[in-house]
Amino acid sequence: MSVENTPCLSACLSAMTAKRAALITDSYKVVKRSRREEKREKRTPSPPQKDTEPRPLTAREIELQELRQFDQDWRYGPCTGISRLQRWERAAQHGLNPPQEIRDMLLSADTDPDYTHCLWSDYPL
Amino acid sequence: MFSEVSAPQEGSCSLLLCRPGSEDQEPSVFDRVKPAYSPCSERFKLGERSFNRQYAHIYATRLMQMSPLLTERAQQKWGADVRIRKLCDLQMGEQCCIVGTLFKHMELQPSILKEISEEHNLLPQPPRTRYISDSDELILEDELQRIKLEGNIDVDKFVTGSVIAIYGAEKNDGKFTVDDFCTADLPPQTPRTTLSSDRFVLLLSGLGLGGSHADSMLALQLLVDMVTGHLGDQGEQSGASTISRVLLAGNLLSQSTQDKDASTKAKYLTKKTQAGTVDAMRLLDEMLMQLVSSVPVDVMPGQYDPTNYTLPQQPLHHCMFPLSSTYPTLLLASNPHQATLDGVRILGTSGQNVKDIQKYSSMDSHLEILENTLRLRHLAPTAPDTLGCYPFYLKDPFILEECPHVYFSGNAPSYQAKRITGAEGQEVLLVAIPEFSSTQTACLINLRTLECEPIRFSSFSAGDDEESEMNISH
Repeated sequence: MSVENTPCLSACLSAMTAKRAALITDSYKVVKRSRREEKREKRTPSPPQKDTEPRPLTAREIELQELRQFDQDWRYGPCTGISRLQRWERAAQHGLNPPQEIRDMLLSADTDPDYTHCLWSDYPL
Repeated sequence: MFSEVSAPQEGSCSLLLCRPGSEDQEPSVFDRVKPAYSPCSERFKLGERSFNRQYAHIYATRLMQMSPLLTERAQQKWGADVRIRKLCDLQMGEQCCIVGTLFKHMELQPSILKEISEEHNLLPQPPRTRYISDSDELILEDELQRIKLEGNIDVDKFVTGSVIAIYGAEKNDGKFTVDDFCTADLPPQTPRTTLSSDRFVLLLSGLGLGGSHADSMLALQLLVDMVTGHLGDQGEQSGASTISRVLLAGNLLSQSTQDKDASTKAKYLTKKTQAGTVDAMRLLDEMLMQLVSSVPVDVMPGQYDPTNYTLPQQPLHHCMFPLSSTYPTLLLASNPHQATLDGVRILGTSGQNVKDIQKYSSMDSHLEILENTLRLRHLAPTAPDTLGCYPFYLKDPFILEECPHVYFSGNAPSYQAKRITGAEGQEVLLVAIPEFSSTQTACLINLRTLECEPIRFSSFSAGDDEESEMNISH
């Protein structure tokens, strides 16, 4: 859509709102920019809490971090819609040598959805 | 070839004229040749059917599978020390080679987003036979980026989804100037076994049952009678017995059996009416029964047949053939279909892939497109862009891993055949099988010599003095 079309489109849309009961755009969230800016001003930046040390990561967290790194490796192709193991197998089949420890990790926890499915699996397609 | 075998021989003509059941003449029986046959189209069978994936996977796997092949080809063509770059490492002005998937940006390509353009008060585009225009642009995509192409590359000849290697340099304006390009070319081929005698396969497509072509029904009956040996004298019958297999390449039913109104009409209005396909399927079943009782038949579905629409089309269900499916000689195949017959590898489709490329490129001849897909090493490059396709993720089954000896596509407007020889001595016979309902032509392929000839069954048309004409003009 080109920019010069936009005013004509919005005029068209408003004309249709009068006629029709529901529009697809009705389901869109109404974003009020002015209020959001107010909020942003109100929220004072929290002071950096220097006293809390970053606690050491658990073994599970380290593993999950590694798996997320695997998800983000572009060489093995897109990761949405398939399980991590399927993606690993595909990469192996095409000779891309995915890391073996990822497969071991996935096989050791084959029921935990945090392990089996990729980072973006909760998002709808 | 076949026509020579079946030419009437001296003396045998009199056999047709003698009294039936005369004692002095033994009834001669011609055994049909039985070649070693193995279907190898497992790759086109769908196991699980999951449609919650996006098509990004099929493009990703296509590039994963093709890029080692193309890297090798590029090194053969432009020297082993050619710089092969990813788009992200591209240096301005550096001569290098890039492997990637083509995307053709087409102004006229129909798109669902444009179809909602009634909100812009624009008229929807009229359907066209061809969607190319002068403003089309080629864009090459690798795993991460894309770049516009210009220079020595014919935009109209290429289609979206083809994986190629290009050689050239990036210019100041951010476009890549192509000096040369290469495709994956023909895959390796296992040599054929030499056959001692002539054996034939009969290919036909586009029967168009249930349509309005009444004269093609007579032609079809003639064909069935010819193949089953009910036609002609002993010479012709012995010729017919060398037809080892019949392959029907799609569009068994006519397009007119597809009732577009059925989905929009009210249910109570259509309750008593029967779908147009029911009668046509019954007709097909009866026709197939005559054939399969005598010769093995492969039945591939096509664009208008009652199976899934997306490629690969799955075999027609055997419940639709109550008469013929009791014979073990009926093989309900997928589309695309691949089989090995006496060491001759046959691969082909019902023609959707070729017709789609025809719409989105300047190529017109089905044979030329067929050769092009073989050189691209991909059966259907435009799937999933403009051609319906199952969302594969593990591998792209349309990539040719082994070179067929016979490569066909169905439902062409006219018969065409050609032999091509690859760089590594591969021999391929390309066949565009004409639509039977409009041309009454079938193709007969000799498995021994890999030659092809059309057989026309044009009945009662002006100028024909014979009912069945064996036409050997190529």
